[in-house]
Amino acid sequence: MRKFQLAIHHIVGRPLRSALTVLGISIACAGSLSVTGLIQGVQDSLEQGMEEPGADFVVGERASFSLVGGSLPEALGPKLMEVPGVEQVSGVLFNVETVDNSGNVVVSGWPRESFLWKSLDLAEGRIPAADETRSIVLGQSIASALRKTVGDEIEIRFTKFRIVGVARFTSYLNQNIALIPLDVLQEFLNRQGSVTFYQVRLQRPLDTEQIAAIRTNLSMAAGNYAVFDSGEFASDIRLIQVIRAIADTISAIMLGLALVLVATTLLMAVNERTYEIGVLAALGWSDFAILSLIVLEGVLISAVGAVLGVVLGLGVMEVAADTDMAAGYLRPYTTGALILRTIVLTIAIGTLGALYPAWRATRLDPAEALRRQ
Amino acid sequence: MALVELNQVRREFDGGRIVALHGISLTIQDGETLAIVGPSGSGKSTLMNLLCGLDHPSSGEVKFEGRPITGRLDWRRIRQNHVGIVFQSFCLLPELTARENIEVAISGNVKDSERRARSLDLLNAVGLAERANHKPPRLSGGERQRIAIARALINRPRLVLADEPTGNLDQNTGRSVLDLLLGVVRSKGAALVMITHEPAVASCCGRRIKIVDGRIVSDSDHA
Repeated sequence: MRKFQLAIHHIVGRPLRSALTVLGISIACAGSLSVTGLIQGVQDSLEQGMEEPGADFVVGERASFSLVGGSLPEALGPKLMEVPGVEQVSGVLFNVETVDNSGNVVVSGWPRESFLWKSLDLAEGRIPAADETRSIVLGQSIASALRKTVGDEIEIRFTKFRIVGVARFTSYLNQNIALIPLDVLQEFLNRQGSVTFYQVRLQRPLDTEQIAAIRTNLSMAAGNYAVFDSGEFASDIRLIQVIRAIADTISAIMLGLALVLVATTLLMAVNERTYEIGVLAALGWSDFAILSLIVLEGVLISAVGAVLGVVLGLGVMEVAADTDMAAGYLRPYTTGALILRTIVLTIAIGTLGALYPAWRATRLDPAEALRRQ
Repeated sequence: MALVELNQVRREFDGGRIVALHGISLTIQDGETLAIVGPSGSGKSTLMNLLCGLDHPSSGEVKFEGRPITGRLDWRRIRQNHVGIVFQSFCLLPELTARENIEVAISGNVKDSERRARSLDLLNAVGLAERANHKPPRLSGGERQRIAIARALINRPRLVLADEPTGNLDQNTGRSVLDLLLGVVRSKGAALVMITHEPAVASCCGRRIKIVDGRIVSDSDHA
């Protein structure tokens, strides 16, 4: 009779309690995975969205609170263009708007002559013409979600825009973006002469040292503004940091609850099985053998809970990302590393929760325990 | 050299207000069969617990194979490898089958096939091979005690301790279990220490000691 089999016997022998404990752990695990995954998804899609147009650097405000919070003067663009090695600079104005009074969409304003328009991969239609002020291009996901196509109209702040093109993007952020000329958006938001950040494309070919030198020169030209790569830009946004901190706290609380749950369940089990533990001690089981039996039960319960929790968490992320209000912002972020991390963390928590009950089990006096039959 | 030796062993409880054993000295030799008799509360079970390290003396010394044993770990090792215990209440784990209850006591890294072979061999010896996959609640009292005897012998112990092994059984079943216990223990060459109330049971052992109020009042070896 191996310890593993005995542990399985104990877990299966109390099916309701084991099932409830596993359920509790899986909910905690799902909560942890989904809050971590969703915030990671926001950051990841922002990072990919910045990278997708082929920009090497982003010039923006240091520690901007939100993605749309930056305000840089348009006059900075020409200065950045003067930096040797810079091929293209494009100011971008970002805002979040409610479309057709239903879903939220990120509206991005690009200068009419920007390389961003030129590198756009259109699925259908065209980009806004030079004299058009109420034309808009939608990312294919938001177009599909709104059931709109070229020629249809959408309403933003009581103003109707005609859809002239639908663009293909790979990043989640851009798939759900609405693009209009920068001057139109500036007027629309009353932010003339201002952009949210600049995207900078470098000349090619360049080696690592040259890129670093250009970055230094860009920083000098940018003055009080910072030069980021897309990953740094995404992680530097304070709002994401704040949400990440909240997500980490919620995740820690949930996993803490899982720890308490495992500890409580196994303490109850140890108390109920005092007699049995006494028998095992009387048979000569070592303290380590008894301790590892109880810990093994904790590991098995938490492992099952972790696997179920991952499945549940993936479902929660899908549902959360599917809501109208979340469209364009939240997406399930499910890398193997994140899933593995969640499973390992949950099992580690289960092991930790089992240690105290297991230690209590080894402290039982076998003679006293045997009298408890 | 004696297998087990108790020198002036005293066991107190409740801060010394209750004295279960008053300086008992006793030696048990290899292969010996010893019955411990005495009225309820005389200290028989306390003595048995001290013989296998389930309890520890307040003073005095317990030696196993000439070596003083004091630590929990030493006693666990001795119980695992050298001592088999048969309890009055069987002490089987209800969720395990008869075979698993025997195998749970196997010490060391033993292959599954050997575990299976050893447990089935003992189940045969106690006449319960066909009950190998039955769980204790589906076994009679006599069958449970036979399983407990098989479990006590699984590690080929040098000492078997039996606390009222027939106490929970009817007379006929008790007799057959006793015969089985004595037969198997003798065939394995182990020493047997048996606690009993019943003179007829005690008379089956080669040596008898009587305990009253925590003191040995008679020892047939020294009669």
